[in-house]
Amino acid sequence: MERAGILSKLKYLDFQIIIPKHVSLEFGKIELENVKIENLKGRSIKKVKSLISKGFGWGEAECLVLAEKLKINFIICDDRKLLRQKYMLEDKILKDIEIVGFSFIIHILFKKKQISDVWKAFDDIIEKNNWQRSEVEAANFVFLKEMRY
Amino acid sequence: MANLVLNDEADRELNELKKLEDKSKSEIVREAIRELYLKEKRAKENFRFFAELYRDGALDKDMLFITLPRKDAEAIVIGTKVGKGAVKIAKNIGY
Repeated sequence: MERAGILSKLKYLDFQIIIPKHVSLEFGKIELENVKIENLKGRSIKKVKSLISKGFGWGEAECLVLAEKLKINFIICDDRKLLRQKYMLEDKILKDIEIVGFSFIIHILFKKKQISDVWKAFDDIIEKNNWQRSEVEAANFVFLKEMRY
Repeated sequence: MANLVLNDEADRELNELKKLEDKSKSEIVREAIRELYLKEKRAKENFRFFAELYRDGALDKDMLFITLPRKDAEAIVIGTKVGKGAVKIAKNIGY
């Protein structure tokens, strides 16, 4: 979303996005009122390390642990490897937490009239992130189709 | 024209195919390349079309793997499952 210039539109969302510290470092400074950065500590860090030892990326592990801690049953993530792990692994944390992609945000921004052409935004994000013919393209495409775009 | 370098396993399989299909080795290699080429072209030009067919149930998993390169078929199967899970979430929270 950052590469397609949509990141600044997150301020129009009517909910808060909570980003774990490690993920926020990948973005740099985000100055949006509805984006909150959460620093995981203690037991949560132990859980993160346990997931990393199972092959999860650091950022993805932090997102999953944070979602579990906050009792939110989904995360917003477009990591191809995590999508494959969600399908292949039997891990409890992955069973309980669904993954939604960038198209979820596009869908909401369209409803809030901040985006006029959903498919143009979709194409732009796919192309700029080099996600053509990947799990990420398929997941977000199916989401938009199921939402009747 | 091309010279191909095969490992022991591919050489053994090519010889076995030659007997099974009663074709020359060159013919078998040409057919295999043609099939891979068509699968690759299909996926490059129509990835979303096949994703939609699979989503609608017009194409099953086996047909998807026969029609497209393995990595594209896997991407569609996994992506469809994740995408449908995301729809449930969006609807549950009122979007």
